[in-house]
Amino acid sequence: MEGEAQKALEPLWKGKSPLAIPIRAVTDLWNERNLIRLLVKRDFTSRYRRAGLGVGWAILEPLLLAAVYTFIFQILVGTDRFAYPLLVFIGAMFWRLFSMVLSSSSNSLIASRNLFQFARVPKSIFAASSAVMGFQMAFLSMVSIFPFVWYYDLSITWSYLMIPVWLGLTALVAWSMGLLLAPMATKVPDVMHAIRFLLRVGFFLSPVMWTYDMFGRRFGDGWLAALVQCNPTIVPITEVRSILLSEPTGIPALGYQVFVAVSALSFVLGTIVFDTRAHKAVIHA
Amino acid sequence: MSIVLKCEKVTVAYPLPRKFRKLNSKPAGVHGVSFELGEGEVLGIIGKNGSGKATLLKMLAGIFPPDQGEILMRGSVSLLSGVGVGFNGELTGRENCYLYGALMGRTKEQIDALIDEVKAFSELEHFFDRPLRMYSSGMKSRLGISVATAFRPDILLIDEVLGVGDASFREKSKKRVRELINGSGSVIIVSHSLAMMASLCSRVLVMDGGKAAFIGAPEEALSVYADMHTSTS
Repeated sequence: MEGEAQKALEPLWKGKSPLAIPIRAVTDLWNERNLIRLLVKRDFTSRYRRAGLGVGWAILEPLLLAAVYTFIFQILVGTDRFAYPLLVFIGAMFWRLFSMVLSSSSNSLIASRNLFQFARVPKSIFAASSAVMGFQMAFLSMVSIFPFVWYYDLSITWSYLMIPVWLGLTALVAWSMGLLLAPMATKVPDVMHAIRFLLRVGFFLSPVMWTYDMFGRRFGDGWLAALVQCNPTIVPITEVRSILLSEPTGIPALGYQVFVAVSALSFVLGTIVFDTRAHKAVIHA
Repeated sequence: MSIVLKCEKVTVAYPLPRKFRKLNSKPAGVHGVSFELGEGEVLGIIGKNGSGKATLLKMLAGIFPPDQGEILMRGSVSLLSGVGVGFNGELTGRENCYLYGALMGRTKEQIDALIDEVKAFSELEHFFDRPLRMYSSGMKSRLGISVATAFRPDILLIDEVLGVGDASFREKSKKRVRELINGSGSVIIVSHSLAMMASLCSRVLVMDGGKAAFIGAPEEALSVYADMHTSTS
């Protein structure tokens, strides 16, 4: 009898094939969707329950940021680009999503260390909940697009349905990059400082206040243009702007290929590195 | 009695900060600990501060893996550690219960079925639907014990939280742990309360410097622990 029970014991830590890890990461997200929903609810509640405007801040914040950025850029450079405040609003909304998800995913092992003890849920779930939270906030702030659409007399088309898809892809890339960095960020506190610094620099290197065509006019299509394609926010921001203004993006096929390659590589590497390193890194959290 | 948990020569060392490496400091952690836990058994762990009790519990809870050795187990495991650990101050007691239940792999329907029991056991009454930031530390602990024992993991790990609350709640907590054991749940308790160890545990593991110094009957274990104190003082 006792021998039979002994056979049923399973090792707490089992080795996994690295190639199966990215697929496992997707199935984990689906299996733990109820937990992710509750974690997102917790984060929303913590952030907005005591605020007078509540979730209104999710809509107001990118709008106010866009107003400030537009004002500053107009003073510094000056531009006669059509619907420039709308373009800045889109840039601010996407950048806020990308930077929020990347920094919270990188910090997820430290921030959620008290929750690991309750049960053996996949640790990537806590980073995923911050990605879903970021996506929901950005999705809510999309409401602010419609006053611009009315003011600039833009036409609403079916392609508007692609905007949430680009938001989702941006959150996915930021989540993957966060997973890649999280174990190192837990071991070495300097990494989080470096990430915060790089995100500040990244704001200027991303098309928040500038647009892809402005960059092309200024720097041409040389090596600098090729390098800038590696920034994973270029394609989503430019795509959504082109959807709203019903104009071509101007991004060459290479730009899309680089975006797909960077996204896929971040996801595969991020999930593998996180799965193999995070458990050991938690000892430092 | 069938075995639900088996630790085989489990070793883990906390990484030493660089400034201590030159001093040849011994890394803290757990070194070569082996024991088994039977179904429905209560195992106590005692030891001085820094002897590796909490580290061992964290490994058993699956928070981080050992450097060497193996942990084998059957069923679900949950660690209850500290006052209100893991709870969110902005969520109400009820909302925290749903989050806690989901973390323990329970569905919404399963949590719905248990929520009234948690509320009644915790004796929080109208505070149950107020944000946790309004709770005293004793109230947070009551909620923690209520939910951890209500969701009944197969193996419950308790780190120094049974001694919280007033005298009547402490008795209630002990009674609840007994009920859990009677329902074939297994429990590992870490505590400095020797009286609690003697009254609740069937065996006690004495930890010293990260190693298992003794494992056996509570009376003998407590005497080993008392001798350790005498030899160091």
